Amino acid sequence: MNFEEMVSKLERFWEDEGCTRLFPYDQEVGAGTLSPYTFLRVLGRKPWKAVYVQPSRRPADGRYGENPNRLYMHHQLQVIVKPPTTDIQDTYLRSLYLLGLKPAEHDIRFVEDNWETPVLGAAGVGWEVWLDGMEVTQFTYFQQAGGQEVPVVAVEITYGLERLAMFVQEKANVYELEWHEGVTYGDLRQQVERENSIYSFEQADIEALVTMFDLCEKESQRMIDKRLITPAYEYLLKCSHTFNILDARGTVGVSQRMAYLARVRRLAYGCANLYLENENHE
Amino acid sequence: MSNLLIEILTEELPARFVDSAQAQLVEHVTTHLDESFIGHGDVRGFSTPRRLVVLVQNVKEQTDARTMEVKGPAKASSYDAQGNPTPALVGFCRGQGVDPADTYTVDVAGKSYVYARKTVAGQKSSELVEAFLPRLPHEVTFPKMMHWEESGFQFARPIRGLLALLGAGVLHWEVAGVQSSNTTFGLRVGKPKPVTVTSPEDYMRRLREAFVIVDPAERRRLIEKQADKLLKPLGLKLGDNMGDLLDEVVNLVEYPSVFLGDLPSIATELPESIVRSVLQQQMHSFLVYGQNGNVIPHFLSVRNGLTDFIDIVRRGNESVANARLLDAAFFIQEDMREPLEAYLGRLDTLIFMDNLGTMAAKTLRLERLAACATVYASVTPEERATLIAAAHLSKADLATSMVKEYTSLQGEIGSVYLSRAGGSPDIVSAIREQYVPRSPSEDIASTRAGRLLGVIDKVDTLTGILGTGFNPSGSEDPYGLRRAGNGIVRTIVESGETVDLETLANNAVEGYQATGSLPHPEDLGQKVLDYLKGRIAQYFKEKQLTREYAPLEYLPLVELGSIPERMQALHEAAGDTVLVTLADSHRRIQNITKGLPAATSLPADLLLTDPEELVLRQSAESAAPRILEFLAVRKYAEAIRTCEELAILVTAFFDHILVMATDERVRSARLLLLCYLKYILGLVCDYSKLT
Repeated sequence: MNFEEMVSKLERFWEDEGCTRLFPYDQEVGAGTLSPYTFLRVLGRKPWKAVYVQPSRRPADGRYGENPNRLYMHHQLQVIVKPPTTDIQDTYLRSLYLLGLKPAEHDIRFVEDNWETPVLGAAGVGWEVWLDGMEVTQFTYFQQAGGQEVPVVAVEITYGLERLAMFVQEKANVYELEWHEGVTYGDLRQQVERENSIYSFEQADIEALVTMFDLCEKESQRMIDKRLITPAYEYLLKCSHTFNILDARGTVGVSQRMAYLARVRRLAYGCANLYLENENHE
Repeated sequence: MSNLLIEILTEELPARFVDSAQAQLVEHVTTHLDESFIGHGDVRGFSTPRRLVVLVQNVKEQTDARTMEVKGPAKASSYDAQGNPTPALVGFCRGQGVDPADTYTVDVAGKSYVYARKTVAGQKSSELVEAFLPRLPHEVTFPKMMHWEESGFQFARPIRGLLALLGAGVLHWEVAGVQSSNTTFGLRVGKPKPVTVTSPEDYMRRLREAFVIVDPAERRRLIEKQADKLLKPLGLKLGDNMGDLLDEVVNLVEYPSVFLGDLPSIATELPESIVRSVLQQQMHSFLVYGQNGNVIPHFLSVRNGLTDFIDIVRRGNESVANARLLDAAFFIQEDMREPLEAYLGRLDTLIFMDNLGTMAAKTLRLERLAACATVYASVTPEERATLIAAAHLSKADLATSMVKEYTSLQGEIGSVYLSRAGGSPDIVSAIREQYVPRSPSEDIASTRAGRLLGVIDKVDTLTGILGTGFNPSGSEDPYGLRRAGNGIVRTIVESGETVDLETLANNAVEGYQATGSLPHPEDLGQKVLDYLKGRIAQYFKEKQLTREYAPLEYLPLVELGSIPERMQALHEAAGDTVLVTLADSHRRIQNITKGLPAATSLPADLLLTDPEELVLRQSAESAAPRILEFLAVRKYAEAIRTCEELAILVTAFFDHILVMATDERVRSARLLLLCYLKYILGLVCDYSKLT
């Protein structure tokens, strides 16, 4: 089963479970959680069910396209079910069936792992799912977002698509994955990985990025003041990605780092509060 | 009589929570049964990662009828001036269903109250159990809780089923939207099929058929047996101290199947400690050794499930082990391009903890504490030099790729790199042992420098966190304060090391003031000591040593490390008949001087005139320096003997002297003498607690 087949099977599965299938958010994010399809929609009381692929960029994890397991950008399949159904774990296990992964033939385990995204004031409780020892999914019950306890819990299921595909295709090197018949992951991604690694580790213009961060922050705050959540949040995402490049470039000291994260967090709280106020007015 | 079965089916509980939750549930069920007067036999707990179970044998169908005494209003407000019952009394009697004429009065703390004696009829146990069941899940606490449905109910993980059977009858029970039934679910294989349980006795068998071994002790035995069967014929064995990992694995599986996997050849080129950590911590798997203790390129792992298709599981795990170890080898190679020293420069990019500055600042503080080690510990100049050098490099490995990837290998990595670069073995082992003991079952550090480095590191951490104003109460311990505190106490007590914790804590506070500031520096040294005293009390409580010995009340903290030797001396003296006299004397002295501080100086001679008190004064005066001398050289048996000699004189004193003399000055002189004795007897231990 090649990469694109695997992705469409999973997407189709969750569509059948009542999830709205969305396209990846068209901005750089570090994880599917940062997409407004997750971060904003898990706030408040409104039900929400969605599935989407989210390319996720983590500049510091770039390895010039040379490491078989580590990537500047990987792909997540993000599923949000709010409120969760009582058989959500079984539903997830059924999705693995589609990929030919049956519990009776493997060792599929839910191993404690709680995550926290301080930059969004978000925290969740859950597991990483192990498939014969390999972590293939992060399975989380949101407990907090935007610094507040969530009134209605959402389940976030994040499939690590490269990991899963490597397992299914029995490949030890991510670049050898078959994406489409006759087209490998390496054909599509290796050069991109190399270029982005060179950029974020060696070439990124620090001064320009610092200025960019300031500008985006200002614009985001201005939009919060105007109560326009979407542009405010989109500029927040630009801040976040800009910071990630600066971080990878190795120029951010500790106290500076804390300060940058606090600045992004302030914007996130601002957006979250607006979103909740809007919902309360409806 | 029938048996009672309670099962809470959940999504996978964190392995580290399971044992405690099982014990709590047993305790609460027992309490509820007893408080409801329900006769019952054995209460046993079981658990798997997905279920908490209590099985109670021989529960009586009904409780016995019993009489009960109920306290009513005060007598004064129960009768009016004419002696007629007031509305208060009438109301109470109506509520209890008794006639006012049948009440009686009882004096409680000097005041009379009306009481009624009433008969409570026997009740159905099923109804009484149904009455306490809803409270049960609320009473189990976990270090970290979550909510998942609209009621906001909190548990470790979502509850997905409730099974409650008394005999064949299903008890009604509802928690967080889940209703009780007589069904549960087995191992996650294939489509989930409900398993119907017809009686408590039937439960274990039904679940076994559904591939769940409910008894953790049995799972443990199975794992050990299967491991033995695989390893023995090959002449292999598991490493020592595998207990913690085995405990964890037992709570990660419902149906264990052990298998042996191959490690890639790279495993033999990596330090054993690293291979072991990668396997244990990232794969919950065991490293395998040959008979002479050499590492064999295999690992032993436990599948949750049957042996069917186990080759697929093995191959998966082998490739994960391969990827992880290759990763580790790559990182080590990259890291070792530079000496350990070079990583110090990057510690200013690592935060120690929120608001507590960087690891570079922490390193400076540790070096400072190491440099003044002679002030709070008895170290030789060579040991001090080792300690300083070790403190200097202690945190360098935190900046290596290897520790960034494998946090739990902190210390280990630094020591491996330093040792490969030809570092001094003393410094290497101190760096390796600075985080020891990491768990209650792990031994304390084996080297002096390792122990002291660990203690100063942990005292620095405690000081910093308490200095942020963090209040370490409650069951959550987000900063690992308890572990740090326990590590300090265990290290000192179990090694017999002399560490003046008070001086050390105050030095630690100064260290923070020198490198920055803390939000709450007020009384910080004292707060650290108070926290440590709490941990010491806990330590002795767990070892069940407090009764004979109260080190907190009578010992300066600096003597913490001498406690085991003192205990030993006391233990050896237990045959002396005089020891009983000593215990008696100490008790009498404490009683009569209650509320008075121990005195470090004697009353003037002039006021003491009777021979018994003069002899006692003289002997106390000459015994004190001898006892102090014995303590200084840790000759506790001799110190106890000296106290015993005094005890005989104390008895004579009490036999002949009236302490509470009418002349106030004489009385205070006698009390002062006893307060002095309280001081010198208390130097060794609290004999009054001996029985």
